Amino acid sequence: MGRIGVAVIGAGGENIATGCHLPALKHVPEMELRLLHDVNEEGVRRTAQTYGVDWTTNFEDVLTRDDIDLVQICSPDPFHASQSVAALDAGKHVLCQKPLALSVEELESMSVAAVRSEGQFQGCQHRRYEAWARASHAAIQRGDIGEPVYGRFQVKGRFYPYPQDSFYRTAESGGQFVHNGMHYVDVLCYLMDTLPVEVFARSARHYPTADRLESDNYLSCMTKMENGAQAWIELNLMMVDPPLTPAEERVIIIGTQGTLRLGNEDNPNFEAFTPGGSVRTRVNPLIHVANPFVLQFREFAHTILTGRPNAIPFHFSARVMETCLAAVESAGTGEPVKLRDWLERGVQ
Amino acid sequence: MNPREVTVGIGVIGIGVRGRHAHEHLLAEHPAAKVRAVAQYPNVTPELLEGRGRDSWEKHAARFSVKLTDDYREVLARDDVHVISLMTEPSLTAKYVEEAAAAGKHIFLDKPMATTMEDSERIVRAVEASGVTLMVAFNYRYAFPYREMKRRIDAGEIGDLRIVSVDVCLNKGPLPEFTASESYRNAFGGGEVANFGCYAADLLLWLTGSQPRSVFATMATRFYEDYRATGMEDIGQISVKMENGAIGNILTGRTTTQSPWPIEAVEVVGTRGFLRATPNCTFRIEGKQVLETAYGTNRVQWMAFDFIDAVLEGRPSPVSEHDGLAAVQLIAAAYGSAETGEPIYL
Ligand SMILES: NC(=O)c1ccc[n+]([C@@H]2O[C@H](COP(=O)([O-])OP(=O)(O)OC[C@H]3O[C@@H](n4cnc5c(N)ncnc54)[C@H](O)[C@@H]3O)[C@@H](O)[C@H]2O)c1
Repeated sequence: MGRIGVAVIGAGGENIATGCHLPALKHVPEMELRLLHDVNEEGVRRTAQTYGVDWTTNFEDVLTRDDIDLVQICSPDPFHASQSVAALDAGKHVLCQKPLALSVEELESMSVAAVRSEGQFQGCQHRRYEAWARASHAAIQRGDIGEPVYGRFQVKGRFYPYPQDSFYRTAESGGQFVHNGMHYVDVLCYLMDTLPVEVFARSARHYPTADRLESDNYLSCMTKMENGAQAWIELNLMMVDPPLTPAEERVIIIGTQGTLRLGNEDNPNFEAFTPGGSVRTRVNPLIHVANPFVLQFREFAHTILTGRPNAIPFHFSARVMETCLAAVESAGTGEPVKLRDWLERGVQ
Repeated sequence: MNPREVTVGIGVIGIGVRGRHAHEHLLAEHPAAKVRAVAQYPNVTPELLEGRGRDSWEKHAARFSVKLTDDYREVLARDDVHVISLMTEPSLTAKYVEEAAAAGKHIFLDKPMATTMEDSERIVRAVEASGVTLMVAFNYRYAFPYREMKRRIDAGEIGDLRIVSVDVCLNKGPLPEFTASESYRNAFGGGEVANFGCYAADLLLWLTGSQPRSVFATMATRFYEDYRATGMEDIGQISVKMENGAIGNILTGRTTTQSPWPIEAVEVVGTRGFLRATPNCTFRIEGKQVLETAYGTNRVQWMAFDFIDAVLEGRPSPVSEHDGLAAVQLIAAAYGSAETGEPIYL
């Protein structure tokens, strides 16, 4: 294989595909954009003109073209699982936007496809490629805070005012923790180098005005991790801040030897208290030293081209996604939910 | 009573069994108060003394210019002692509260109030029967930002309370002389979740003004070998659903971090606003910043004065035996949940 031939799905509007994936691809020498797909013909044709590549509204074309090696799926949530399975079954590599799936059944079908396919799969978990996350990960891997035993990711903001007819307003969407939870769970698991085995969650709702989603807009999720650590993820979209106030994010990792605190609130900072002394720096997580999409694409390209182990194996992403689904389930039943071991199913 | 004329006599029962922790010197700072007698109680669990003996008790008494009383019952019998600063091991507090209350003494009691619900109920009955004032030393309530939070919540400034998250996680490891032991665990009713979690539990209960309905908790021993050897947790998290619908999130424990600050924070989300207090606090109502401050008050001193003032003025206890019991109940439910892996419904 020379360069990796890429098709991008969902490239017919002003969205994540055209706003992040296509611009990032320009900086990925290992990949070559060859085909765009969307159900919106006019939109996808326009994008194709801009980039000088082919377009289609027929997903089958993506699967049958031999010069397409990697399918980047940026369609709306309900299509992620079926499009991933179809692409994997066609022998393609897949990079799929979050959420990977809207149910455990969908995740199951993806895991089966991932096992039987020659193709590699990655969830688009680009937040772990943000500068602050990589710096924290490096510090933890160096042993600066000892072994991480507790991790927390808190997000506070106003709920996103989707268009009135948006799928993301419906109860069927699973709500905001299914839609966005992967980001936070993934970063925590990446930093702590472990995965949840059990989830307990509570949820609530408060919409300050008549504008509301059908789902709860607060979820607090406590987990036990594989290595005995504990974690807490809180997604609070009940805040009564003025529209467009950026969401506050706070991360704490407590290790056996020290703690690490990060935040993007009024004073973006990174604090590490270690036996070797303390560091306090300002890292604005919104200003990336390198674009996280580019970093993930390039790392994935190396896996595809050289057979290097997949940096975000399917079993890892599946557990992260399942954590989000389980949290919503737990909040509904009031009972803790135990998670599957996707690795046992033969998926790497 | 007129505070300028009346002196509140303080009797001490229990010395040096909770590390070197004590409240009598704070109570005695009050212009109307004075320590008049100091005694150790019999049969102290030896491990709790961490090697300190009679010498150190005598020294403690001398600090207040009194001689060590051999029998604590003599302290209870004194007419010039009005208040007992009680610092026995929590598994024994019920017995001493009963005796002190029967002797008509007001009681200032360290946290946790007791290790079991049975003992907590005994304490409530004894205090009610005698009509004395008992205060539990939940000093976090006296930290300025939390007090200010409570005032604004009660004034309805942030609307209905939806979420209260409390971190009370100490830094820099256990005190130098401390070693975890079976005896400590039995005397204190658990590890760090009982020890510091009760502060967090009290803040949650106090701020919401509601009762817990369901409690889920996870705990672990991750920092210290001696804790591991005795099966005593050093970190835990608790999820609570309150009767008024609010959700409570608690993180508590004792970490090794050398950070100069404990991990201490309270966040409250209401239908109209958000309050966050750490050593610094941010209060925002309807999107507007209303307060930002650093916290400088000596909360422990303020608490001690408030108790003496309550006794002088005949006010109800600022943190009563009912509050003590509620915290014991929440922490007991957390242990129950951590043990069974199931939520506990109250
Ligand atoms: N990682 C991130 O930070 C991030 C950010 C935004 C969105 N996303 C995810 O990316 C996905 C797309 O989000 P968006 O905000 O760009 O959405 P969008 O709705 O703006 O764009 C989706 C595009 O997909 C097209 N489409 C609809 N059905 C399709 C189908 N069956 N096949 C192919 N294309 C189809 C639409 O016409 C549209 O052009 C969502 O799943 C979302 O969760 C991720």
